[in-house]
Amino acid sequence: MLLTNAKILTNKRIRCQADFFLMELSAPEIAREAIPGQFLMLTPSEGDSPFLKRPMGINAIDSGSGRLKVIYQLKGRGTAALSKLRDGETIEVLGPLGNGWSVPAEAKHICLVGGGSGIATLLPLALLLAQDSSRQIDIILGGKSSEHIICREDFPPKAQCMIATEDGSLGRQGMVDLYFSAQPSYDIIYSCGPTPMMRKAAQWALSNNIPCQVSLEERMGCGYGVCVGCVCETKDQQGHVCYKRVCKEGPVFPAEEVFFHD
Amino acid sequence: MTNMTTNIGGLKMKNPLITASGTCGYGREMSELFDLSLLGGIAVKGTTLEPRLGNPPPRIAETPSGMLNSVGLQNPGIEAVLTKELPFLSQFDTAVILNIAGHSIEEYGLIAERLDSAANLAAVEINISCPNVKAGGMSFGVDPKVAAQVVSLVKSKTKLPVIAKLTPNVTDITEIAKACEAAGADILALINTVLSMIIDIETRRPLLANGFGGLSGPAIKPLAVRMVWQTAQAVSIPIIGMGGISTAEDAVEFLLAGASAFQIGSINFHNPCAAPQIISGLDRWCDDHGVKNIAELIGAAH
Ligand SMILES: Cc1cc2nc3c(=O)[nH]c(=O)nc-3n(C[C@H](O)[C@H](O)[C@H](O)COP(=O)(O)O)c2cc1C
Ligand code: FES
Repeated sequence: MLLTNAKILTNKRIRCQADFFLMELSAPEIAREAIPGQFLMLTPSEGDSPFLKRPMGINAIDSGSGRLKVIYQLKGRGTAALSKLRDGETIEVLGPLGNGWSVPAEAKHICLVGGGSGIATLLPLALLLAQDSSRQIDIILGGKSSEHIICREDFPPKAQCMIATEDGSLGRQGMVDLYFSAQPSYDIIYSCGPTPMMRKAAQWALSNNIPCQVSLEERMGCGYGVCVGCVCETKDQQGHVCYKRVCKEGPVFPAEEVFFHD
Repeated sequence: MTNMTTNIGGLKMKNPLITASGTCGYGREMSELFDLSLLGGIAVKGTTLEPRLGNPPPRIAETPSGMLNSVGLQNPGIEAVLTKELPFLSQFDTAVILNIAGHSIEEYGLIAERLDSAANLAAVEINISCPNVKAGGMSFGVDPKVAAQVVSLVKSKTKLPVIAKLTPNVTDITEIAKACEAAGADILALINTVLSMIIDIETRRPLLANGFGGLSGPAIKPLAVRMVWQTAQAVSIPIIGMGGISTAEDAVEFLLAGASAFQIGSINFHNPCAAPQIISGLDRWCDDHGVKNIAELIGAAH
Protein backbone atom coordinates (compact mmCIF):
# COMPACT_ATOMS: atom_id res chain seq x y z
CA MET A 1 0.00 0.00 0.00
CA LEU A 2 1.29 3.44 -0.84
CA LEU A 3 0.09 6.99 -1.32
CA THR A 4 1.19 8.68 -4.54
CA ASN A 5 0.31 11.47 -6.90
CA ALA A 6 -0.66 9.77 -10.12
CA LYS A 7 -0.80 11.44 -13.50
CA ILE A 8 -4.16 11.22 -15.24
CA LEU A 9 -3.55 9.89 -18.74
CA THR A 10 -7.20 9.73 -19.76
CA ASN A 11 -10.43 10.69 -18.05
CA LYS A 12 -13.37 10.37 -20.38
CA ARG A 13 -17.00 9.43 -20.61
CA ILE A 14 -17.40 6.01 -22.17
CA ARG A 15 -21.19 5.72 -22.04
CA CYS A 16 -23.56 8.58 -22.80
CA GLN A 17 -26.73 7.64 -20.98
CA ALA A 18 -25.39 5.34 -18.29
CA ASP A 19 -22.79 7.94 -17.23
CA PHE A 20 -19.79 5.62 -17.08
CA PHE A 21 -16.33 7.19 -17.11
CA LEU A 22 -12.94 5.63 -17.67
CA MET A 23 -9.85 6.99 -15.94
CA GLU A 24 -6.39 5.82 -16.84
CA LEU A 25 -3.58 6.62 -14.41
CA SER A 26 0.15 6.40 -14.40
CA ALA A 27 1.08 4.95 -11.00
CA PRO A 28 4.01 2.56 -11.53
CA GLU A 29 4.59 1.53 -7.89
CA ILE A 30 0.94 0.71 -7.36
CA ALA A 31 0.65 -1.06 -10.72
CA ARG A 32 3.60 -3.25 -9.80
CA GLU A 33 1.92 -4.49 -6.61
CA ALA A 34 -1.73 -4.65 -7.69
CA ILE A 35 -3.63 -7.87 -8.31
CA PRO A 36 -7.12 -8.41 -9.77
CA GLY A 37 -9.91 -7.65 -7.31
CA GLN A 38 -8.02 -4.95 -5.42
CA PHE A 39 -9.11 -1.34 -5.37
CA LEU A 40 -7.80 2.22 -5.11
CA MET A 41 -8.88 5.21 -3.04
CA LEU A 42 -8.96 8.33 -5.20
CA THR A 43 -9.01 11.85 -3.76
CA PRO A 44 -11.57 13.78 -5.82
CA SER A 45 -10.48 17.13 -4.44
CA GLU A 46 -7.54 18.51 -2.50
CA GLY A 47 -9.78 20.55 -0.25
CA ASP A 48 -12.40 19.23 2.14
CA SER A 49 -15.29 19.16 -0.31
CA PRO A 50 -15.89 16.34 -0.83
CA PHE A 51 -14.06 15.26 2.31
CA LEU A 52 -13.62 11.53 1.79
CA LYS A 53 -11.71 9.58 -0.82
CA ARG A 54 -13.65 7.35 -3.20
CA PRO A 55 -13.05 3.61 -3.54
CA MET A 56 -12.69 2.40 -7.14
CA GLY A 57 -12.15 -1.20 -8.24
CA ILE A 58 -9.17 -1.67 -10.52
CA ASN A 59 -10.26 -2.35 -14.10
CA ALA A 60 -6.87 -2.90 -15.73
CA ILE A 61 -3.35 -3.43 -14.45
CA ASP A 62 -0.31 -3.00 -16.67
CA SER A 63 2.72 -3.43 -14.48
CA GLY A 64 5.08 -3.04 -17.47
CA SER A 65 3.95 0.45 -18.39
CA GLY A 66 2.88 1.33 -14.84
CA ARG A 67 -0.69 2.06 -15.89
CA LEU A 68 -3.94 1.40 -14.09
CA LYS A 69 -7.55 1.92 -15.17
CA VAL A 70 -10.71 2.46 -13.19
CA ILE A 71 -14.28 2.81 -14.42
CA TYR A 72 -16.78 4.83 -12.43
CA GLN A 73 -20.39 5.80 -12.80
CA LEU A 74 -21.51 9.36 -11.98
CA LYS A 75 -23.40 8.95 -8.73
CA GLY A 76 -22.73 11.82 -6.38
CA ARG A 77 -20.41 14.67 -5.42
CA GLY A 78 -17.25 12.58 -5.41
CA THR A 79 -17.66 11.09 -8.86
CA ALA A 80 -18.87 14.46 -10.19
CA ALA A 81 -15.60 16.03 -8.98
CA LEU A 82 -13.59 13.15 -10.45
CA SER A 83 -15.30 13.56 -13.82
CA LYS A 84 -14.12 17.17 -14.04
CA LEU A 85 -10.43 16.32 -13.77
CA ARG A 86 -8.51 16.80 -17.01
CA ASP A 87 -5.96 14.64 -18.79
CA GLY A 88 -2.49 15.59 -17.58
CA GLU A 89 -3.61 16.64 -14.10
CA THR A 90 -2.52 14.65 -11.06
CA ILE A 91 -4.65 12.92 -8.50
CA GLU A 92 -3.76 11.49 -5.10
CA VAL A 93 -4.12 7.72 -5.09
CA LEU A 94 -3.85 5.24 -2.21
CA GLY A 95 -3.42 1.62 -3.17
CA PRO A 96 -3.44 -1.16 -3.95
CA LEU A 97 -6.02 -1.94 -1.28
CA GLY A 98 -7.93 -5.02 -0.15
CA ASN A 99 -7.32 -8.70 -0.67
CA GLY A 100 -8.21 -9.35 -4.32
CA TRP A 101 -9.65 -12.48 -5.91
CA SER A 102 -7.99 -15.76 -5.10
CA VAL A 103 -7.61 -18.32 -7.83
CA PRO A 104 -7.19 -21.99 -6.93
CA ALA A 105 -4.65 -23.56 -9.32
CA GLU A 106 -6.85 -26.59 -9.91
CA ALA A 107 -9.88 -24.53 -11.04
CA LYS A 108 -10.33 -25.21 -14.77
CA HIS A 109 -13.98 -24.56 -15.50
CA ILE A 110 -14.87 -21.13 -14.20
CA CYS A 111 -17.88 -18.82 -14.27
CA LEU A 112 -17.92 -15.03 -13.73
CA VAL A 113 -21.19 -13.24 -12.97
CA GLY A 114 -21.13 -9.46 -13.16
CA GLY A 115 -23.27 -6.36 -13.36
CA GLY A 116 -22.93 -2.57 -13.19
CA SER A 117 -19.45 -1.25 -12.48
CA GLY A 118 -18.78 -4.70 -10.96
CA ILE A 119 -18.12 -5.87 -14.51
CA ALA A 120 -15.05 -3.64 -14.51
CA THR A 121 -13.47 -5.49 -11.57
CA LEU A 122 -14.09 -8.89 -13.13
CA LEU A 123 -12.13 -7.96 -16.27
CA PRO A 124 -8.59 -8.23 -14.84
CA LEU A 125 -9.62 -11.52 -13.22
CA ALA A 126 -10.85 -12.88 -16.56
CA LEU A 127 -7.59 -11.86 -18.25
CA LEU A 128 -5.54 -13.51 -15.52
CA LEU A 129 -7.60 -16.71 -15.72
CA ALA A 130 -7.26 -16.81 -19.51
CA GLN A 131 -3.46 -16.95 -19.27
CA ASP A 132 -3.85 -20.64 -18.52
CA SER A 133 -5.05 -22.08 -21.85
CA SER A 134 -6.47 -25.21 -20.19
CA ARG A 135 -9.13 -23.09 -18.49
CA GLN A 136 -12.65 -22.76 -19.80
CA ILE A 137 -14.26 -19.46 -18.80
CA ASP A 138 -17.94 -18.53 -18.97
CA ILE A 139 -18.94 -14.93 -18.35
CA ILE A 140 -22.49 -13.88 -17.53
CA LEU A 141 -23.12 -10.13 -17.60
CA GLY A 142 -26.31 -8.31 -16.76
CA GLY A 143 -27.61 -4.75 -16.68
CA LYS A 144 -30.49 -2.41 -17.45
CA SER A 145 -29.60 -1.94 -21.13
CA SER A 146 -26.73 -2.47 -23.56
CA GLU A 147 -25.24 0.82 -22.27
CA HIS A 148 -24.74 -0.80 -18.88
CA ILE A 149 -22.76 -3.77 -20.16
CA ILE A 150 -19.32 -2.17 -20.01
CA CYS A 151 -16.00 -3.65 -21.11
CA ARG A 152 -17.57 -6.48 -23.09
CA GLU A 153 -15.09 -6.02 -25.97
CA ASP A 154 -12.16 -6.38 -23.56
CA PHE A 155 -12.90 -9.83 -22.16
CA PRO A 156 -10.66 -12.60 -23.50
CA PRO A 157 -11.99 -13.82 -26.86
CA LYS A 158 -11.83 -17.45 -25.81
CA ALA A 159 -14.27 -16.85 -22.93
CA GLN A 160 -17.91 -17.52 -23.66
CA CYS A 161 -19.89 -14.35 -22.94
CA MET A 162 -23.62 -14.47 -22.07
CA ILE A 163 -25.55 -11.23 -21.71
CA ALA A 164 -28.90 -10.38 -20.18
CA THR A 165 -30.44 -6.91 -20.27
CA GLU A 166 -33.66 -5.80 -18.62
CA ASP A 167 -34.83 -4.02 -21.77
CA GLY A 168 -33.60 -6.70 -24.14
CA SER A 169 -31.35 -4.24 -26.01
CA LEU A 170 -28.48 -6.73 -25.85
CA GLY A 171 -28.46 -10.51 -25.33
CA ARG A 172 -31.51 -12.10 -23.77
CA GLN A 173 -34.13 -10.00 -22.03
CA GLY A 174 -34.14 -10.51 -18.28
CA MET A 175 -31.68 -11.05 -15.44
CA VAL A 176 -28.40 -12.96 -15.25
CA ASP A 177 -30.14 -15.98 -13.71
CA LEU A 178 -31.57 -16.80 -17.16
CA TYR A 179 -28.19 -18.40 -17.71
CA PHE A 180 -27.98 -20.25 -14.38
CA SER A 181 -28.02 -23.87 -15.55
CA ALA A 182 -29.67 -26.54 -13.42
CA GLN A 183 -26.57 -28.63 -12.88
CA PRO A 184 -23.55 -26.41 -13.33
CA SER A 185 -20.19 -28.14 -13.45
CA TYR A 186 -18.01 -25.16 -12.56
CA ASP A 187 -15.04 -25.49 -10.22
CA ILE A 188 -15.57 -21.95 -8.94
CA ILE A 189 -17.92 -19.00 -9.50
CA TYR A 190 -16.91 -15.34 -9.04
CA SER A 191 -19.38 -12.49 -8.75
CA CYS A 192 -19.28 -8.72 -8.54
CA GLY A 193 -22.28 -6.48 -9.06
CA PRO A 194 -25.43 -5.25 -7.36
CA THR A 195 -26.25 -7.10 -4.13
CA PRO A 196 -29.36 -8.92 -5.46
CA MET A 197 -27.30 -10.26 -8.36
CA MET A 198 -24.50 -11.45 -6.08
CA ARG A 199 -26.99 -13.05 -3.76
CA LYS A 200 -28.52 -15.02 -6.66
CA ALA A 201 -25.10 -16.05 -7.95
CA ALA A 202 -24.06 -17.14 -4.45
CA GLN A 203 -27.25 -19.18 -3.94
CA TRP A 204 -26.80 -20.82 -7.31
CA ALA A 205 -23.17 -21.72 -6.53
CA LEU A 206 -23.63 -22.84 -2.95
CA SER A 207 -26.76 -24.93 -3.64
CA ASN A 208 -24.65 -26.82 -6.16
CA ASN A 209 -21.69 -27.13 -3.80
CA ILE A 210 -19.52 -24.90 -5.94
CA PRO A 211 -17.11 -22.52 -4.17
CA CYS A 212 -18.02 -18.90 -4.76
CA GLN A 213 -16.29 -15.57 -4.16
CA VAL A 214 -18.13 -12.26 -4.09
CA SER A 215 -16.71 -8.74 -4.06
CA LEU A 216 -18.64 -6.40 -1.76
CA GLU A 217 -19.14 -2.66 -1.72
CA GLU A 218 -19.71 -0.57 1.42
CA ARG A 219 -19.46 3.09 2.33
CA MET A 220 -15.82 3.75 3.18
CA GLY A 221 -14.19 6.27 5.46
CA CYS A 222 -10.52 5.50 4.96
CA GLY A 223 -10.18 2.48 2.64
CA TYR A 224 -7.10 1.21 4.48
CA GLY A 225 -8.47 -0.36 7.62
CA VAL A 226 -8.28 2.30 10.31
CA CYS A 227 -11.83 3.63 10.69
CA VAL A 228 -13.79 0.33 10.90
CA GLY A 229 -16.57 2.10 9.04
CA CYS A 230 -16.91 -0.22 6.06
CA VAL A 231 -17.90 -3.44 7.78
CA CYS A 232 -20.14 -6.15 6.38
CA GLU A 233 -21.99 -8.76 8.36
CA THR A 234 -20.30 -12.15 8.12
CA LYS A 235 -20.60 -15.45 9.98
CA ASP A 236 -17.62 -17.22 11.46
CA GLN A 237 -17.17 -20.99 11.51
CA GLN A 238 -19.48 -21.37 14.52
CA GLY A 239 -22.13 -19.36 12.70
CA HIS A 240 -21.69 -16.32 14.98
CA VAL A 241 -22.18 -12.90 13.44
CA CYS A 242 -19.06 -10.79 13.18
CA TYR A 243 -18.29 -7.60 11.32
CA LYS A 244 -15.40 -7.63 8.90
CA ARG A 245 -13.83 -4.66 7.16
CA VAL A 246 -14.68 -4.70 3.46
CA CYS A 247 -11.56 -2.64 2.73
CA LYS A 248 -9.13 -4.90 4.57
CA GLU A 249 -10.48 -8.44 5.06
CA GLY A 250 -12.35 -7.92 1.75
CA PRO A 251 -13.57 -6.72 -0.64
CA VAL A 252 -13.58 -10.37 -1.79
CA PHE A 253 -15.23 -12.82 0.59
CA PRO A 254 -16.17 -16.49 0.31
CA ALA A 255 -19.91 -16.33 -0.43
CA GLU A 256 -20.80 -18.69 2.42
CA GLU A 257 -19.45 -16.19 4.99
CA VAL A 258 -21.61 -13.30 3.87
CA PHE A 259 -25.10 -12.21 4.88
CA PHE A 260 -26.56 -10.38 1.88
CA HIS A 261 -28.68 -7.34 2.77
CA ASP A 262 -30.18 -5.25 -0.02
CA MET B 1 14.21 23.63 14.20
CA THR B 2 11.65 24.51 16.80
CA ASN B 3 11.64 22.83 20.18
CA MET B 4 8.45 20.80 20.01
CA THR B 5 8.92 18.65 23.08
CA THR B 6 5.71 18.42 24.98
CA ASN B 7 5.65 17.38 28.60
CA ILE B 8 2.21 17.65 30.11
CA GLY B 9 0.61 16.08 33.16
CA GLY B 10 3.16 13.25 33.20
CA LEU B 11 2.85 12.56 29.46
CA LYS B 12 6.12 13.14 27.58
CA MET B 13 6.12 13.45 23.81
CA LYS B 14 8.66 14.53 21.17
CA ASN B 15 6.03 16.75 19.59
CA PRO B 16 2.43 17.76 20.34
CA LEU B 17 0.73 15.66 17.63
CA ILE B 18 -1.27 12.58 18.59
CA THR B 19 -3.36 10.55 16.15
CA ALA B 20 -6.89 10.40 17.57
CA SER B 21 -8.60 7.30 18.89
CA GLY B 22 -10.68 5.45 16.31
CA THR B 23 -8.87 7.01 13.38
CA CYS B 24 -5.61 5.08 13.38
CA GLY B 25 -6.57 1.57 14.53
CA TYR B 26 -3.65 0.11 16.48
CA GLY B 27 -1.05 1.62 14.16
CA ARG B 28 -0.43 -1.36 11.87
CA GLU B 29 -1.93 0.09 8.69
CA MET B 30 -0.40 3.54 9.15
CA SER B 31 3.01 2.02 9.81
CA GLU B 32 3.01 0.84 6.18
CA LEU B 33 2.88 4.49 5.09
CA PHE B 34 5.23 6.29 7.48
CA ASP B 35 7.42 5.73 10.52
CA LEU B 36 5.19 5.92 13.60
CA SER B 37 8.19 7.12 15.61
CA LEU B 38 7.59 10.51 13.99
CA LEU B 39 4.39 10.88 16.03
CA GLY B 40 4.25 12.58 19.38
CA GLY B 41 1.71 9.95 20.34
CA ILE B 42 -0.89 7.53 19.09
CA ALA B 43 -4.25 7.08 20.80
CA VAL B 44 -5.51 3.61 19.91
CA LYS B 45 -9.10 2.58 19.27
CA GLY B 46 -11.58 2.74 22.18
CA THR B 47 -11.20 -0.43 24.24
CA THR B 48 -13.83 -2.09 26.41
CA LEU B 49 -13.60 -4.92 28.96
CA GLU B 50 -15.17 -7.54 26.66
CA PRO B 51 -15.05 -7.72 22.86
CA ARG B 52 -17.72 -5.55 21.21
CA LEU B 53 -19.41 -6.14 17.88
CA GLY B 54 -20.14 -2.46 17.25
CA ASN B 55 -23.09 -1.00 15.37
CA PRO B 56 -24.55 -2.45 12.16
CA PRO B 57 -23.60 -0.86 8.83
CA PRO B 58 -23.91 1.64 7.26
CA ARG B 59 -21.66 3.33 9.79
CA ILE B 60 -20.14 6.15 7.75
CA ALA B 61 -21.56 9.09 5.84
CA GLU B 62 -19.96 12.13 4.29
CA THR B 63 -21.17 15.61 5.23
CA PRO B 64 -20.16 19.06 4.02
CA SER B 65 -16.50 19.31 5.12
CA GLY B 66 -16.70 16.33 7.38
CA MET B 67 -18.29 13.01 8.15
CA LEU B 68 -20.60 11.13 10.46
CA ASN B 69 -19.72 7.82 12.08
CA SER B 70 -21.54 5.32 14.20
CA VAL B 71 -18.87 2.63 14.55
CA GLY B 72 -19.99 2.03 18.11
CA LEU B 73 -16.76 0.86 19.74
CA GLN B 74 -16.14 -2.32 17.76
CA ASN B 75 -13.03 -3.72 19.48
CA PRO B 76 -11.59 -7.08 20.57
CA GLY B 77 -11.64 -6.29 24.33
CA ILE B 78 -8.87 -5.32 26.75
CA GLU B 79 -7.24 -8.77 26.98
CA ALA B 80 -6.68 -9.03 23.21
CA VAL B 81 -5.59 -5.39 22.97
CA LEU B 82 -2.95 -5.92 25.69
CA THR B 83 -1.63 -9.20 24.30
CA LYS B 84 -2.13 -8.91 20.53
CA GLU B 85 -2.23 -5.22 19.61
CA LEU B 86 -0.07 -3.13 21.96
CA PRO B 87 3.11 -5.26 21.62
CA PHE B 88 3.27 -4.27 17.92
CA LEU B 89 3.58 -0.63 18.94
CA SER B 90 6.54 -1.22 21.29
CA GLN B 91 8.95 -1.08 18.30
CA PHE B 92 8.14 2.62 17.83
CA ASP B 93 9.43 5.54 19.84
CA THR B 94 6.08 7.24 20.38
CA ALA B 95 3.71 7.73 23.32
CA VAL B 96 1.02 5.03 23.20
CA ILE B 97 -2.25 6.17 24.71
CA LEU B 98 -5.01 3.66 25.42
CA ASN B 99 -8.52 5.02 24.97
CA ILE B 100 -11.01 3.16 27.18
CA ALA B 101 -14.79 3.00 27.28
CA GLY B 102 -17.44 1.25 29.35
CA HIS B 103 -21.12 0.50 29.74
CA SER B 104 -20.94 1.20 33.47
CA ILE B 105 -18.72 3.11 35.89
CA GLU B 106 -17.38 -0.21 37.23
CA GLU B 107 -16.33 -1.33 33.75
CA TYR B 108 -13.90 1.61 33.50
CA GLY B 109 -12.34 0.55 36.79
CA LEU B 110 -12.00 -3.09 35.70
CA ILE B 111 -10.17 -2.04 32.53
CA ALA B 112 -7.97 0.51 34.32
CA GLU B 113 -6.67 -2.02 36.83
CA ARG B 114 -5.23 -4.09 33.98
CA LEU B 115 -3.15 -1.29 32.53
CA ASP B 116 -0.13 -1.03 34.81
CA SER B 117 0.98 -4.45 33.52
CA ALA B 118 1.29 -3.14 29.95
CA ALA B 119 4.91 -2.39 29.12
CA ASN B 120 4.49 0.43 26.64
CA LEU B 121 1.58 2.61 27.70
CA ALA B 122 2.23 6.31 28.23
CA ALA B 123 -1.26 7.33 29.36
CA VAL B 124 -4.88 6.26 29.52
CA GLU B 125 -7.57 8.36 27.86
CA ILE B 126 -11.07 7.94 29.24
CA ASN B 127 -13.78 8.23 26.64
CA ILE B 128 -16.73 9.42 28.70
CA SER B 129 -18.86 10.11 25.65
CA CYS B 130 -20.33 6.63 25.44
CA PRO B 131 -23.77 5.75 26.76
CA ASN B 132 -24.13 4.67 30.40
CA VAL B 133 -26.37 1.64 30.00
CA LYS B 134 -27.36 1.58 33.68
CA ALA B 135 -28.45 5.21 33.47
CA GLY B 136 -30.75 4.66 30.52
CA GLY B 137 -28.09 5.25 27.90
CA MET B 138 -27.25 8.83 28.87
CA SER B 139 -23.58 9.60 28.27
CA PHE B 140 -21.26 9.59 31.33
CA GLY B 141 -19.79 12.80 30.03
CA VAL B 142 -22.90 14.96 30.33
CA ASP B 143 -23.23 14.80 34.11
CA PRO B 144 -20.37 16.40 36.08
CA LYS B 145 -20.90 14.08 39.07
CA VAL B 146 -20.83 10.90 36.98
CA ALA B 147 -17.87 12.13 34.91
CA ALA B 148 -15.97 12.82 38.15
CA GLN B 149 -16.81 9.35 39.51
CA VAL B 150 -15.39 7.68 36.40
CA VAL B 151 -12.22 9.79 36.53
CA SER B 152 -11.51 9.20 40.21
CA LEU B 153 -12.15 5.47 39.90
CA VAL B 154 -9.73 5.16 36.95
CA LYS B 155 -7.21 7.38 38.75
CA SER B 156 -7.32 5.07 41.79
CA LYS B 157 -6.68 1.95 39.67
CA THR B 158 -3.66 2.99 37.59
CA LYS B 159 -0.42 4.90 37.95
CA LEU B 160 -0.62 6.10 34.33
CA PRO B 161 -1.40 9.74 33.59
CA VAL B 162 -5.19 10.00 33.18
CA ILE B 163 -6.69 11.98 30.30
CA ALA B 164 -10.41 12.72 30.48
CA LYS B 165 -11.81 13.04 26.96
CA LEU B 166 -14.84 15.29 26.96
CA THR B 167 -17.95 15.27 24.84
CA PRO B 168 -19.12 18.51 23.23
CA ASN B 169 -22.75 17.40 23.55
CA VAL B 170 -23.34 19.42 26.72
CA THR B 171 -24.61 22.88 27.57
CA ASP B 172 -21.50 23.98 29.47
CA ILE B 173 -18.31 22.04 28.87
CA THR B 174 -16.41 23.98 31.55
CA GLU B 175 -18.63 22.47 34.25
CA ILE B 176 -17.62 18.94 33.21
CA ALA B 177 -14.00 20.03 32.76
CA LYS B 178 -13.83 21.44 36.30
CA ALA B 179 -15.42 18.29 37.74
CA CYS B 180 -12.84 16.08 35.98
CA GLU B 181 -10.00 18.31 37.19
CA ALA B 182 -11.26 18.13 40.75
CA ALA B 183 -11.56 14.33 40.47
CA GLY B 184 -7.87 14.07 39.69
CA ALA B 185 -7.60 14.06 35.89
CA ASP B 186 -4.06 14.93 34.80
CA ILE B 187 -5.04 16.15 31.35
CA LEU B 188 -8.26 16.99 29.48
CA ALA B 189 -8.84 16.09 25.82
CA LEU B 190 -11.56 17.73 23.78
CA ILE B 191 -13.64 17.46 21.72
CA ASN B 192 -15.16 14.13 20.85
CA THR B 193 -17.65 13.96 17.96
CA VAL B 194 -20.81 16.07 17.81
CA LEU B 195 -24.09 14.13 17.93
CA SER B 196 -25.70 14.49 14.50
CA MET B 197 -27.97 12.91 11.94
CA ILE B 198 -28.48 12.53 8.20
CA ILE B 199 -31.74 11.49 6.57
CA ASP B 200 -31.73 9.74 3.21
CA ILE B 201 -34.46 11.57 1.30
CA GLU B 202 -34.97 8.68 -1.14
CA THR B 203 -35.63 6.01 1.48
CA ARG B 204 -37.05 8.59 3.94
CA ARG B 205 -35.07 6.91 6.71
CA PRO B 206 -32.01 7.92 8.73
CA LEU B 207 -28.95 7.11 6.64
CA LEU B 208 -26.89 5.47 9.37
CA ALA B 209 -28.23 2.15 10.65
CA ASN B 210 -27.82 3.46 14.18
CA GLY B 211 -29.87 6.59 13.43
CA PHE B 212 -27.51 9.11 15.01
CA GLY B 213 -23.79 9.44 14.46
CA GLY B 214 -20.88 11.61 15.55
CA LEU B 215 -19.84 14.53 13.35
CA SER B 216 -16.12 15.11 12.90
CA GLY B 217 -13.75 16.80 10.49
CA PRO B 218 -13.21 20.44 9.42
CA ALA B 219 -16.94 21.16 9.89
CA ILE B 220 -16.56 21.07 13.71
CA LYS B 221 -13.33 23.04 14.04
CA PRO B 222 -14.72 26.43 15.12
CA LEU B 223 -16.91 24.72 17.70
CA ALA B 224 -13.91 22.82 19.03
CA VAL B 225 -11.70 25.92 19.16
CA ARG B 226 -14.39 27.75 21.14
CA MET B 227 -14.65 24.89 23.65
CA VAL B 228 -10.87 24.64 24.07
CA TRP B 229 -10.75 28.40 24.68
CA GLN B 230 -13.49 28.25 27.32
CA THR B 231 -12.00 25.22 29.02
CA ALA B 232 -8.53 26.77 29.11
CA GLN B 233 -10.01 29.67 31.07
CA ALA B 234 -11.77 27.36 33.51
CA VAL B 235 -9.08 24.82 34.49
CA SER B 236 -5.37 24.80 35.21
CA ILE B 237 -4.54 21.28 33.98
CA PRO B 238 -3.22 20.91 30.41
CA ILE B 239 -5.53 20.43 27.45
CA ILE B 240 -5.20 18.30 24.34
CA GLY B 241 -7.30 19.97 21.65
CA MET B 242 -8.94 18.33 18.65
CA GLY B 243 -11.81 18.59 16.23
CA GLY B 244 -11.32 19.22 12.53
CA ILE B 245 -7.58 19.79 12.44
CA SER B 246 -6.28 19.22 8.93
CA THR B 247 -3.26 21.51 8.60
CA ALA B 248 -0.40 22.84 10.71
CA GLU B 249 -2.18 26.23 10.75
CA ASP B 250 -5.28 24.58 12.27
CA ALA B 251 -3.07 23.05 14.96
CA VAL B 252 -1.56 26.47 15.74
CA GLU B 253 -5.08 27.80 16.23
CA PHE B 254 -5.78 25.16 18.90
CA LEU B 255 -2.50 25.91 20.66
CA LEU B 256 -3.31 29.63 20.68
CA ALA B 257 -6.73 28.82 22.12
CA GLY B 258 -5.05 27.13 25.06
CA ALA B 259 -4.25 23.54 24.07
CA SER B 260 -0.79 22.19 24.92
CA ALA B 261 -1.04 19.34 22.41
CA PHE B 262 -3.49 18.28 19.74
CA GLN B 263 -4.96 15.22 18.08
CA ILE B 264 -5.82 14.64 14.45
CA GLY B 265 -8.72 12.34 13.57
CA SER B 266 -10.78 12.28 10.40
CA ILE B 267 -8.05 13.95 8.34
CA ASN B 268 -6.22 10.61 8.54
CA PHE B 269 -8.94 9.26 6.23
CA HIS B 270 -8.71 12.15 3.77
CA ASN B 271 -4.91 12.01 3.78
CA PRO B 272 -3.25 8.97 5.41
CA CYS B 273 0.06 10.87 5.55
CA ALA B 274 -1.43 13.95 7.23
CA ALA B 275 0.39 13.32 10.53
CA PRO B 276 4.01 13.60 9.32
CA GLN B 277 2.98 16.47 7.01
CA ILE B 278 1.40 18.44 9.86
CA ILE B 279 4.42 17.87 12.11
CA SER B 280 6.86 19.19 9.50
CA GLY B 281 4.43 21.96 8.56
CA LEU B 282 4.26 23.05 12.19
CA ASP B 283 8.03 23.18 12.41
CA ARG B 284 8.13 25.32 9.26
CA TRP B 285 5.38 27.60 10.50
CA CYS B 286 7.19 28.17 13.77
CA ASP B 287 10.47 28.91 11.95
CA ASP B 288 8.72 31.40 9.67
CA HIS B 289 7.12 33.10 12.66
CA GLY B 290 10.16 33.19 14.89
CA VAL B 291 8.75 30.70 17.39
CA LYS B 292 11.63 28.88 19.10
CA ASN B 293 9.60 26.75 21.45
CA ILE B 294 6.14 25.45 20.72
CA ALA B 295 5.18 26.29 24.31
CA GLU B 296 5.26 30.00 23.39
CA LEU B 297 2.04 29.48 21.47
CA ILE B 298 0.00 27.82 24.20
CA GLY B 299 -2.89 30.07 25.18
CA ALA B 300 -1.27 33.07 23.50
CA ALA B 301 -4.62 34.24 22.09
CA HIS B 302 -6.10 34.86 25.54
C1 LIG C 1 -14.53 6.67 12.76
C2 LIG C 1 -14.26 7.32 14.09
C3 LIG C 1 -14.11 6.53 15.22
C4 LIG C 1 -13.87 7.11 16.47
N1 LIG C 1 -13.70 6.31 17.57
C5 LIG C 1 -13.43 6.88 18.78
C6 LIG C 1 -13.18 6.07 19.94
O1 LIG C 1 -13.17 4.83 19.88
N2 LIG C 1 -12.94 6.71 21.12
C7 LIG C 1 -12.91 8.07 21.21
O2 LIG C 1 -12.67 8.59 22.30
N3 LIG C 1 -13.10 8.85 20.13
C8 LIG C 1 -13.35 8.29 18.92
N4 LIG C 1 -13.55 9.10 17.82
C9 LIG C 1 -13.46 10.57 17.97
C10 LIG C 1 -12.10 11.11 17.55
O3 LIG C 1 -11.07 10.56 18.34
C11 LIG C 1 -12.07 12.64 17.64
O4 LIG C 1 -12.33 13.02 18.96
C12 LIG C 1 -13.09 13.32 16.73
O5 LIG C 1 -13.20 12.62 15.50
C13 LIG C 1 -12.78 14.79 16.45
O6 LIG C 1 -11.58 14.98 15.77
P1 LIG C 1 -11.45 15.13 14.16
O7 LIG C 1 -12.42 16.18 13.75
O8 LIG C 1 -10.02 15.47 13.91
O9 LIG C 1 -11.84 13.80 13.58
C14 LIG C 1 -13.80 8.53 16.58
C15 LIG C 1 -13.94 9.31 15.42
C16 LIG C 1 -14.16 8.74 14.19
C17 LIG C 1 -14.30 9.62 12.99
S1 FES D 1 -12.99 2.13 5.14
FE1 FES D 1 -12.01 2.52 7.00
S2 FES D 1 -11.76 0.53 7.82
FE2 FES D 1 -12.54 0.16 5.86
